[in-house]
Amino acid sequence: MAEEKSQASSSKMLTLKASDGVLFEVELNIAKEMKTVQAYIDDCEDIETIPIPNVLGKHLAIVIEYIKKTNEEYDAEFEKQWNMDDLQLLLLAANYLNISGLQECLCKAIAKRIENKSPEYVRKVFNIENDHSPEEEAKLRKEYKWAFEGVDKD
Amino acid sequence: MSSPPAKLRVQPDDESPAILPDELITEVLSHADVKSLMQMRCVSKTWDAMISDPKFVKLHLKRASRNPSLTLFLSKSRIDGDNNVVPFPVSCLIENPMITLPNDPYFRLRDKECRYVIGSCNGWLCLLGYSSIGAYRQIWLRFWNPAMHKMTEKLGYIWDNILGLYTHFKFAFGYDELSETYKVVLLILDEARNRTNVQILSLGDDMWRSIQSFPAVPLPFRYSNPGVNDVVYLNGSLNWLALRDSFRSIGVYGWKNVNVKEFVIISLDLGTETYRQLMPPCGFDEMSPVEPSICVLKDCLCFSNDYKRTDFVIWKMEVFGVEESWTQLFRISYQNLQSMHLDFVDLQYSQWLPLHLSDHGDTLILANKQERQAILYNLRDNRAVRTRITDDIQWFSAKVHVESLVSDILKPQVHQP
Repeated sequence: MAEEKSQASSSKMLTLKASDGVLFEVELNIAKEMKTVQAYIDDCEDIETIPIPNVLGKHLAIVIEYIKKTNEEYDAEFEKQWNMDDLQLLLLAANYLNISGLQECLCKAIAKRIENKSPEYVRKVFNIENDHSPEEEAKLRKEYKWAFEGVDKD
Repeated sequence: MSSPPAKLRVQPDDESPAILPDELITEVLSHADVKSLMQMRCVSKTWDAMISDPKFVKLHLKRASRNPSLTLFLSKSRIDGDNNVVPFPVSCLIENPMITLPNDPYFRLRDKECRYVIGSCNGWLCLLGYSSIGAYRQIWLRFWNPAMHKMTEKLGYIWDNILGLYTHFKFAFGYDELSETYKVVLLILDEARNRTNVQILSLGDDMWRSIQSFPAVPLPFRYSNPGVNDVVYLNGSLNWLALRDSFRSIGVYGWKNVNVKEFVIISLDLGTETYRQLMPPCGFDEMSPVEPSICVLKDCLCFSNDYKRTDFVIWKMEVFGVEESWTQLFRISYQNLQSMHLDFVDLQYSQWLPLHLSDHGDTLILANKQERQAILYNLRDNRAVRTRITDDIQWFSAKVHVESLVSDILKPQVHQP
């Protein structure tokens, strides 16, 4: 994927404006990896500055860097730098901007971080209220006893 | 493959803590392992419903298929028939650890009253067991999803009388997507009547039923245990390599007399329960002392053969059923496959079986009859490395297996069009 970036259209630059006003100048073929931006360009050809109202500057920077550098090795190390909150915000950004490779990479990363953790831990991560009755939860824990063995500490 | 439709696009508020919408949570969870998902059913009622939803089970299965395991079949004890089957992730195998598999009773087949693994489909293993009663054997099947800790009762009882389990029977396990039914197929070689009878058991039914007899003679036909790979499941069909017309007696296998043109692939559609005959690649035009084989690599039917005792060739049927779409996938010289430590082994006279091709297509896992270890062949630099698991594994019985949430395979689900 990295090799395709230096093509004829790469000389044209585009400006992306993050929600907090931070501006990013990117090559057209980088911006096109964000299908949402591509659709924007298709609609209004002469546009030079595209507003990205849902993504903070710090996250947009990370997304742009990902698009530039993505490959097997980079992807494997990418997620290790970010905390859980950032991973979720990046996922929302990748989803909004419609970048399937990044979206998959982030989904996998978040899944890995919640694997074999207690339900209480997972609830905190995603801000979820437990609406199971104590009996219902006890029933599930009993039925899937094997799943609750050897759980990682929170 | 993972990008959601545009209408699910969610616009995050950058000031509040990230709250992922259900669609994204589903996508995240589809990458989690089965054990964790069963715990996460406790998170909330919504999550419980989400994880149990058949659509989620399908999505999860699709993801899991990209990260499969090989079932390693071995014996941990000297007790006859005490076999273990251990699902071992391919990604782990490729890293080639030097380890000994744990002697975990969970993977012991004897405790499940079974001895062999017939096949793996959607996370379920089809196991076979038997007991001898005088000169006869009572054979049964049992189905096990190791990830979900679910197992059926013994079912599909069959009697093995004069025709033997090890010489005349071939079992196969597959899934018909249309009727959402799991099926087991049994080929019974009937030498006296010069034909191969076929019976099918649909899981959920009580009885085996006969279908049209097999239009050729399935290979290999020699003494082998029921767990050895001799059939290939692909997209709702079961496929066997066979010899057309001729009927050879077991044990006398004169390859010199076999013409290349006699080979055929018989494909049984599990939905219609009818056969199709597929020609092997036309590039396979010369007989060899070594038997060819079929397998599945990258979701395509593949055919492998020896070429002039110098190379091992693998062909891929790009479009299933279209004979013109056979293309050569790999041609690997035996020189490149040779082990540094075993140069007395005649690789060009060995039977080879490709087991799996890694996701990025750079490592091919192969087994060969003469070696204890499997071969990890790096296709980028043409280097072969042997696996280092210390146990004595029967690599020709290894099945590609996935972890799945599929919890029930006996009841055929009512299919609403």
